[in-house]
Amino acid sequence: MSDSAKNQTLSMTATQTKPKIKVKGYRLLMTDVHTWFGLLLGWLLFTIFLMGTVSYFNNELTVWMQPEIPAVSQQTSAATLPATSSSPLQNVTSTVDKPEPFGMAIKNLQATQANAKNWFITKGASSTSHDQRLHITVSNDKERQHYQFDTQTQTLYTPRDTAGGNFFYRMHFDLHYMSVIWARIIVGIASMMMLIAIIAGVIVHKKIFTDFFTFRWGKGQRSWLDAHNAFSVLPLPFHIMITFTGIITLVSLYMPWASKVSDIDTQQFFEEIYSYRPANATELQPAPMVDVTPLLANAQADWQKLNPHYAVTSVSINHPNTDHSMIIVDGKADRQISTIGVFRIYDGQTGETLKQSEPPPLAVTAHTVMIGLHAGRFSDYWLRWLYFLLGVAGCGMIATGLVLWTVKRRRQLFDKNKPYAGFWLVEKLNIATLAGLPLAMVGFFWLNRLLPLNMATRAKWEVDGFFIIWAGSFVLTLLMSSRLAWRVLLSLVTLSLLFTPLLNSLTTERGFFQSVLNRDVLFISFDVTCFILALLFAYLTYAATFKQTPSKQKVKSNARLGAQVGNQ
Amino acid sequence: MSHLVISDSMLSGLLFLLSLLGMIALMMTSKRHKDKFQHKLLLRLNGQALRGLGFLLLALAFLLTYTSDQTGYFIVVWFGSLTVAAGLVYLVMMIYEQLKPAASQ
Repeated sequence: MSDSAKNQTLSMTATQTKPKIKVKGYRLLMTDVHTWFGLLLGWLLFTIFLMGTVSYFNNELTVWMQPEIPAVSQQTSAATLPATSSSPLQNVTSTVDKPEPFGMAIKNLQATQANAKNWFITKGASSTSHDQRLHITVSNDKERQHYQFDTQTQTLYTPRDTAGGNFFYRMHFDLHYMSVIWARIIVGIASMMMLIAIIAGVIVHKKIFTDFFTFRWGKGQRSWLDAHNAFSVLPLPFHIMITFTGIITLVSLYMPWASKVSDIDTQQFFEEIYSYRPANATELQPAPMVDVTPLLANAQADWQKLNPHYAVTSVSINHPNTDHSMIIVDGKADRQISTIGVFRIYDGQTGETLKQSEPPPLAVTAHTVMIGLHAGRFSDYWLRWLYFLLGVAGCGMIATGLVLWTVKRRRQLFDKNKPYAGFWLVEKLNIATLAGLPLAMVGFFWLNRLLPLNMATRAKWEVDGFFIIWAGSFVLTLLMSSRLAWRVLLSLVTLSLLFTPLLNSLTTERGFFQSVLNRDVLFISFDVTCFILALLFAYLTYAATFKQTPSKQKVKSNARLGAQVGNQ
Repeated sequence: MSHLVISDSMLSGLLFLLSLLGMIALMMTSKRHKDKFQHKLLLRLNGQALRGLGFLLLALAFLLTYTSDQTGYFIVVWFGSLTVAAGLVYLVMMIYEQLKPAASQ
C-alpha cells in the first residue's frame, strides 16, 4: 500500500473512530461539578448549615440553658428562688406609675455600681427581649459582671456559667479551636463551593418541574435522589439566598481590596470607633450626670419621625458620674431587615448631643439587608420557624446528597464488605457527621444540666464535652461496621433526645408539667421539639436497621420489608 | 392599598393559606399527579385553568404583602410560606403514595 493510501486509510479510520470517543457533554460536566463540589467539603457544610439552623433560636437556647432565671411570666415566683440565683435589691423604689425600664436600671446602677467604668444596658436579643427584663454588663478595670435585672420585681439574676446557644452561632462561622480568620476563610470557601454546587445542581436536574412533587418509595437510589431533589428544589430560593448572603456577610474578608481602592483610612476608622469605648482615663473628676430618661425619650421620638417602629434597644454609659461621662444610645426598628440601626451620643454631664447617626450609603444598606436576610434577626416567631424549617431542609439536602454518593457507588463495589479507601472514608465521615454531630449537640445540652454549677470554666467544659462526644462517635464509627455504627449512633441520638425533657425536669424546677402550669412557652416548645426530633431519629434508626436497597425494584415495599424483618 | 385592615398575624396566615391553595392547584395539574385527580370533583376545571388559578393565588399572595407598611418583612414571609406550603403538599403526597397500595388492597 502506498504512503498516500495508508494516510488516506488512517484518516478514514480516525474519522470513523472519532464519534466513538466520548466527549463529556455540558450537563455531564456539571454533574461532576455538582458531585465533587458538594462532597469534598460536604461534612463541613453540613456542620455549618446545622449550626446556622439551630442559631435561629440561639437566644432561646441560651434562655433554656439558664433555667435558674425565671421567664417573665413567672415573675411572681421570683421571690421563691434560691438566694444564690437572685437577690432582691433594697433601697430602690418599686412603685413607679409607668416605669421606664432603662431609667429604672440606671437608678439601680447609680445605687449599686456608681463608680464603674462602663454600664451597658440592653433589652437583649429581640426574639427573647422583654421591656421588663434588661441585660446589664458592668465593666471595671479588672472585671466584668453580667446579670439580668427585672424592672418590675427589682430582682437581679445571675445566670450559670454556660456557653449557651451562642456556641452554635459562633461555631457556624468561626468553627472552634482555630484562628477566627482562618476559620472564616475556610467557611467562605465551603460556602462558595456550595453555591457552585447548587447552581450546577439546577443545571443537572432535567425534570425540575415534572418531578417537583414527586417521591418514589422503596426504589433505593431513585428514592434517595427524589429526597435529595425535594430538599433542594422546594426551598431553592432559600438555599441560594442563604448561601449567597452568607458569603456577602464576610465579603470584606474575602475581597479586602475594596477599601484599598477606595482609599479608606482604616486606622482612622478604627480609632474613631474605639474613641467611643471607655478609655483608661486616669484623671477622672466626680461630676453629676444628667438625667438619662428624657434623653432616651427625645432620641426615640426623633427616630420615630423617620420610622414609627424605632425604639431604644441599648444604652451604654462610659465613666458614669465623672467629668468624662458619655451616653451612647442605640436604636432599631422592629421587623427591619437591615441590621443597621441608629445611634446618638450625648455628653453625660450636659446632655449635649455629640454625634448622631446619618442615613447610611445605599451600598451599606444593601450589605446590611443581606446580612439581615441571612441572620433573620428581624423575624418574629412565625418567620423564625419558617427560617428554621428551611434550614432543616438545607441540612436534609446536604445529608441526602452525602448518603446518595455512597448509595450510588455501593452497587458498583466488587466486594461490599471490602470497599476501596475513598468509599470507606466517605461512609465513615457520613456516619460521624450526620449522626455524630446531632449526638454531640444533645450531649452539649445534657452537659449544661449535669456539670456542677460551681465548676471552674464550666462553659468551656460544655464546649469541650461537645467535641469529646463528637470525636467519640467518630472513633465508634471506626470500630464498628458501618451498618452497626448507623444503628448505634442514631439510637443514641433518639434516646438522648427522648430523655432530654426528663433530664430537664429532674435537674430544674422547669419540667414539662411545671412549664405548662406556668405557661412557659419556651420550655414547653423545647420539650416538644425534642420529642418530635426523637420521633424523626427513631424512624431513621428503624430505616437504618430494617430497610435495605431492594434487589428487584418492582418488589412491593411491604413484602420486602416483611421478608427482611423475617430474615433477621 | 397600604391601609387595608389586616393584622400582621392575619396577613401571615393569609399568605400561607393562599400559597398552600396555590401549591395544591399546581400539584393537581402536575404530570406525575394529575391522573389521580382526573375524576375528582375539583377537576371540573380543565388542567390549564387550574394551573392558571394556582399561579394566580401565588401572585395574589405576593401582592398582599403590599397591604402592609412592612413590605420587605412580608415578602420574606411570602417566600417562606411558599416553600413550606410546597413542602407540605409534597409531604402529603408522599404519605398518600405510601398508603395508596395498602388502601387499594
